[in-house]
This record gives sequence, C-alpha cells and structure tokens, in this order.
Amino acid sequence: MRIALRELRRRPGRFGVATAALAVLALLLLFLGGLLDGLTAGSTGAVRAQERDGFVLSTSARDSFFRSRVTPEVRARVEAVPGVSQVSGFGLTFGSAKIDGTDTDVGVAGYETGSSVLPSPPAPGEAYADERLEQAGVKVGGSVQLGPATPIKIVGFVKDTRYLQNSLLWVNLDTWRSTTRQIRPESTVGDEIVQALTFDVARGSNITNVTAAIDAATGGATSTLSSDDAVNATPGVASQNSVFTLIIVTTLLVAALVVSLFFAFLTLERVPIYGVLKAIGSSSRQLFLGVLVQSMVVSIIAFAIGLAVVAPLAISAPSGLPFALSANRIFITIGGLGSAAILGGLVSLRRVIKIDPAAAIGGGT
Amino acid sequence: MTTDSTSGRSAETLFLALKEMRRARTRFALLSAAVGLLVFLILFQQSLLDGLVTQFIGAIRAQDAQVLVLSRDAKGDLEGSRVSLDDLATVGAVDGVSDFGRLNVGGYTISTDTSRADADPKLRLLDASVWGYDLGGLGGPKTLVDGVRPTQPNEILAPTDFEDKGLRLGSTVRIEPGDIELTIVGRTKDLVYGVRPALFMSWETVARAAAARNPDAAEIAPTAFVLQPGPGVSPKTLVERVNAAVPNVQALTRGDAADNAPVVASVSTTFSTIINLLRFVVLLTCGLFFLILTAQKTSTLTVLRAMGAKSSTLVEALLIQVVMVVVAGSVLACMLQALVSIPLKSVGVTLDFASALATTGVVLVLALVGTALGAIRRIVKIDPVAATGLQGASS
Repeated sequence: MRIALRELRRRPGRFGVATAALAVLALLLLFLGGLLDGLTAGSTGAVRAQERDGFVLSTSARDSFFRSRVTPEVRARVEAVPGVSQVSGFGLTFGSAKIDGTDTDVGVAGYETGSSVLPSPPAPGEAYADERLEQAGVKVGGSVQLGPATPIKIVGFVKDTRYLQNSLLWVNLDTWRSTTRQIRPESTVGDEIVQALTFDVARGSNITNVTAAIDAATGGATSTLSSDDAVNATPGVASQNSVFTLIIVTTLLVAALVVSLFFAFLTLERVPIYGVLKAIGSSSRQLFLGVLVQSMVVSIIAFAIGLAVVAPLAISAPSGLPFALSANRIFITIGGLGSAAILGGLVSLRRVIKIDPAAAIGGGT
Repeated sequence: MTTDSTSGRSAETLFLALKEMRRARTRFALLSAAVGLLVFLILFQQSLLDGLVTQFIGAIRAQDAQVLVLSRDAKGDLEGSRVSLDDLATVGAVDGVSDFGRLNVGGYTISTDTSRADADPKLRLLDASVWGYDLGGLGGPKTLVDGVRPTQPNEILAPTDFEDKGLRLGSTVRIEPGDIELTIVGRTKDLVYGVRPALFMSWETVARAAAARNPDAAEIAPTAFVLQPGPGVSPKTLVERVNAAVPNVQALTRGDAADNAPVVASVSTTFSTIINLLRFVVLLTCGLFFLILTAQKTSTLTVLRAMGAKSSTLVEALLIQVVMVVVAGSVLACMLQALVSIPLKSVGVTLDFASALATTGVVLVLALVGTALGAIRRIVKIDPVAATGLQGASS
C-alpha cells in the first residue's frame, strides 16, 4: 500500500488524465444531484413547511391543490374521524407580481396553522414572504401586488416554502380568498371553502389507518395523503426523480468503466514489477490493495475537484437555477464514486492474481 | 501501380489495427463499453429532451393559429396567462389580422371507459389539459390523423398516443367532477401539453366543466388570443404590430410560444449542459485510452519505425481502431436506447436513427481529437534511431 501511495506522490502526472475524466464525471454527478435536489426543494417546500402529518384533497383533483375543493361539510366529517387532530384549511393560487420592475412568478398560500417554519397566519392583508422574494428586492414593511389585486404588506420572511418553483406569500385564508377572486376569478372559492385540509395524527394513532378512515368517512369524496405522499404527489417530482436517478446511475457506471479501464492498463504495464514484488514476498492481496488504494485516491481527488467547481454554484446559484447541494447529496455522490472506483479496481484483480513471479523474473509475462 | 501499393498499404494498416484489437479483446471491449455507455447517455438525454419538449408544448405546435397573444406578466407561460376579453376587439383590429379567436387552457381531471374499469382506484382518473376554442374558428389542431373536427359541444379532439388510457376514436371521455360526457370524434399526433393529453373542445364545454368543478368561480376568461396573419403579412410582422398596439400583452409566433415557453427554455439549458459535459468525458476517455495504449507499445512502435514503417501507417492503424471502437460503442448504445425506449415511450424516449448517426459522428470527431492530442502526437514523435538503444521490444 505504501508503494501505491508513493507512486501517486512521485508520478502524479501518470494519473492526471484518469483524474480529469473522473473529475468531469464527479462534477456531472454533483451537478445532476444538486439540480435534482434544487428542483425537488423548490417544488415541494410549501408542503414540507407546514409540517403536518397529512393532507386531504378532493378525489377528483388527482392530488392537485389547484383542482381540489373541500367544503365545510367534508371538513366536519374529517374532524370527526378518530385519530385526527387539529384540522386546518389550505389554499394556493399562482399569479405574477412586478418586483423591482421585473415580472416575477409569485403565489399566494392561505393557511390556518403555523409550524416551526411558518409563524401563525398574519393579519388580513399581510403576508410572510419566501426568502427568494427578499433576494428579488422585496423588503419587510413593503408590499407586493399581484396583478390587479389589493397590495399585500410583507411582515417577515420564511425559508424553503416554494411550490413548483414559485415563491409564495403566506397569508390567512380570507386574504387568500380575496386575492384569488381578484387575480384568478375563475378559481374563486366561496367562504369556508378551501382547496385542501391539513391535519395531525393524534398520539397512539397511525397515519395509514387515519388516512383510510378519513376517505371512508367522506364516502370516497376525498383522497387523503400522508405528508411524504403529498410531497411525492407534487406534479413532476416522481418523474423527475426517476429520470435523474437513471442518468446518475448510468454516469456512475461510466465512472466505474473509466476506473477499470485505467487500472487494467496500469496493471498490464506493471506486470513485470508485480512479478518481482511477488517473488520477494508480496502477496496478490497486498498488490491488489495497492490498486484499490490508488483507484480510491484518484476518485477522492476527482471528487474534490468536482466539488470545488460546483461549490460556488451551490453558494450563489442564480435565482433562475434550481440548484441545492446538500450534505446528504455530497455523501451519496462520494459513496457512489467510491463504489465505482472499487468496482473498477476489481477488474484488475484477476490479472494481479494470475501473475507468475517465476515468469516475471525470467523476463517474460 | 500506385493504386496497388496504396491499397496494399491500406490492407496492411487494417491488418495491423485488427490484429491488435483481436489480441487485446478485453481492453478494447471495455473501451467500447465505456464509449457505448457515454453515447447511450447522450442519445437518451437528447431523446428525453425532444420527448419532454413535445410533452410540454406539443399542443401549441399542433394548433392552427400562427400567432398567440398572452398576458405580458405570464412571461410566455400559457397556463399562467390570462387576457381580458375587452382586449379581443383591439387585438382583432390590428392591421394584418385576417382571423382571430380566444383560447382557454387549463388542467382538468377526466376518466375514460378504460380508466374507470381499472382495478386500482388511483388509476381510474386521469389528468388532462383541456383546450377550449370557438368551434369552426381558430385554435383547433392544424391536421387530423383520423376522424373529423368537432361541431357540437359534446364532441372533442384527442391525441393518438393515449389509446391504452382509453382515448380512442368514438370512445367517451368524462370530465370530473360534473359527469360531463364527451365523445372523441377526431384525433391528432403530439396533442399533449404539460405532460398531459390535450383535449380540444368547444369554449362552452370548458365553461360548463369549470363551473361544475367550482360553482363559486366566475366565468372563464381566455388564457390567450389566437391570430392568423392576412396575405402578405408574416407572423413576425403581426407579432410586432400587436405588441406595439396593445399594452400588457405579449404576442408570440407559434414557434416562439413553443420554443420559448419557460419550462422548455430551462429544460433545454440543463440538458445541453449535461450533454456537453458528457462529450468532454468522451474526449478525455478516448484520449486517455489510446495514449496509455501507445505508451505501452512505444518500444514496439519504435522497432516498427526502424524497420521502415511510416508514422502515417501507424497513425492510420490507430485511427482505424478509434473508428471501430466508436462504431462498436454506438451500436451498443443504440441497443440500450432501443431497450429503454420500450418502457419510456410514453415520455417520448425513442431510438431515432438520424439522431444516433449524428451523435456517433460528433463522438467520433471528439474521440479523434482526444486521440490526436495524446496518442498521435506521441507516435509522430517516435525516433526510429532510438530502436538501437532498446534492449528488446515488449508488447
């Protein structure tokens, strides 16, 4: 293993091209992962920020808030289901506002119950705005006007609360209804009507049983989702995940092939040296460990280069680019690349084992 | 005589290249597999991009109006647009407009005879993009694959690509809630929008569906106006005239409305970045492989040079190997692409031979550049005199 590390130190140029190819792949993996995380975060923030155990939508809405409509009668039935606690209303409307002279996509979210992310609903005509709007130029005390609607006064900012990449203004339900009436008359809802209900599960009950009980209590008029299911039901999230995962896995396969290709050649080149090393007592295991160590070191350096290139993007991603690099994603990527390096290194195993020290000393291989 | 010697040299070069590939099957197979996977990734993402773009905006391209007028604050997003009916007459009066109409686009839930029979309750309902226009006027599809255009409020046009979901000619579609039953009388290709089948129907039917879904809502408003330029007026000219004449609207040609839709622009940029990075990996991988290969056989090549082999012969042998590796990789990539297109056909992933050929060409050029930067330079630099100092040629 010492020899392997010494070779890396003394002849780094020899590993340069493989490191460069892997660095591009690492960059690609981090970029894809960050993009996927950014897209998912920007699409689902509004659901996660409420920190509720479940969401109730009308069945015909196909899990879309915009197509859902829950009446007070349905709400009363949901509230009466054993195991359901603290039922609240929720509604969402998308529009556009001129911020600093630029048309910006902004949504209005009406809610009834606060969380660790969302303070309790503000007074009528006021809103907590997503922090992205602060970057766009909105200030506390200022106001945002969606189309012809009455301007909404901003009283604070909240983090990670976007939905389908739209920054939201979090308002109370009455303000949401009145704003919707003004900017989307065709989506107007009557008093007491909401698009969805949110709820918590009482201690001792479980979410699977409660969701089934709610749908049974409403006679199939509702489709109740756990919080995780509601996140996954967000339009585009599931297909985004499967497409990006397929690309990431294939990229990891390519990385494994690049490593295997490179170390297969390197092993070929070293056959005489390995023969000599075996003749003086080195085992196949030791020699193979050396190959693995080199492949791991090359992968780690390549990963570090990829991370160094991607990191500035993660720190100051342009507001139009949905990019978020989480620690989790970094660990997944380095784990994937490390596994690819080990897999790639394994290709050299057979050749290392087959080396005959006697033949090597005799000058042939 | 010259032709004979040239063809003899070519055969010799080909023999040299093939012999080496046969002897080192594993390493060339590995490289072909790596190139194959890279080409597959590029092909897959290109077709995914083309497929996604069609899935996002296919219906915009399929409708017959050459100019669409959206609200300016919608920034090109059709579903996010809402124009005032008060502006319709003003837009229609712009010089060069030969015909105009209104369009309402929105997401709805539908069911078909097939979906309602599904054992899984979650699959009994489907998402659809509903397009309401004035029957007989602008805003309907340009062409039909089968059937006729709707003339009654209970008749609709559907895409051809969703037969498995029950969207067949003559079958019934129900808009949920409200039990509004409609019959498919005509179908056309790529009638999709927002990754949902687009159903074209009368304005009045959409108004009924909207009221059934939300009785509190006001009457539906147009999401866009649709215009047709008169003789001698190009769509671009009409766009300029409308944008100059009517405030708070954004007129777009059909092509621009499709290609510059916000989701299309961001998806195209992302995929292009990924594809370019992959191309760079092709260049590095091929360059790396052939450089190492050349480095390993430098002594053999030096002896060959000392025996009279020209640099050009050795370089040609190398280039033949590059071509063969890329071709083998591309064949593998096409097979993989054909395989994944079976389950992913619904999102537009297909094996397009023209695109595969173009990608193979680009990859070949990149592989040749990668090889030229490393291996070829090394071969050209070989000094035959150095052979006298060699202790023996190793393979």
